[in-house]
Amino acid sequence: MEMEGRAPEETMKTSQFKIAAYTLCTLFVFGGCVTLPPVPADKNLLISVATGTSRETILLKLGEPSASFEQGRILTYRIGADDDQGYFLLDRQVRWTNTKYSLVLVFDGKGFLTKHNLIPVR
Amino acid sequence: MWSRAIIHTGLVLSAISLAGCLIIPTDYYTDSSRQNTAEKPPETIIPGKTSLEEVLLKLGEPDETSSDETELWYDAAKVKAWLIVGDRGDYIIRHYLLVIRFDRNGVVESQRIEDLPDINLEYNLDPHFSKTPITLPAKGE
Repeated sequence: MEMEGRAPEETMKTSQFKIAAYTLCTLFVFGGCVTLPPVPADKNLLISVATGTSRETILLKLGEPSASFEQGRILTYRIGADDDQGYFLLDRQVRWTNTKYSLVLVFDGKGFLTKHNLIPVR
Repeated sequence: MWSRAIIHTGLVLSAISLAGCLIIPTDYYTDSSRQNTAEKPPETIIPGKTSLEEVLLKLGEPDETSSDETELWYDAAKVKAWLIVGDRGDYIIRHYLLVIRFDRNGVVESQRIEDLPDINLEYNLDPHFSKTPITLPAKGE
């Protein structure tokens, strides 16, 4: 009578594969549950946004804009707002969840802020 | 007159409920939608006059931009109705896509609202001045 079953090497490979699969599944499951740290809000975040401010100062304060137009002459930032703690910056996303304002900054040819507007989007 | 209207509405709602399907009209923005554009193009944007800079200063960052910056998309999504079928429910969502097109000088050429059902919008705008006509190969090639 022929013995049914698998060779020890094959069984080992199968169990290794199972462990790898379970590990991957666990990583995916927990990967979806990571809690992002809260974005620090700052009441003075937009204090440097004033006509005549240089582009460099704005970029150093606010970082990378969410969009730019006309070769960087116009920059936009997505801004969230907390009643108690102030404004905070948001990354560009497809949607506008948590975004309260769109900040539009227009610079002149020398790189100084000439116009700006904080537009409520939500 | 009002009581008659209420009775008629009640009868219609009852009939729909008994049929197993209830549609409740609503009109509010979805949680993730921008809320500063809507079903109609803004009157403050005037074709032939308003510049790209002015549009951005009025409406803010668009949802998408064509690679040559001659077309901006502003997408507002609204829940237009709740649909209840038996013990299940869903939302009916419509997207009001404001498409603003600019000429080569960066002045608004046209604006329109595209009323779309809730589909996955594919944000892959082509530059509208670089579209070339598709030429089909001749027979035998």
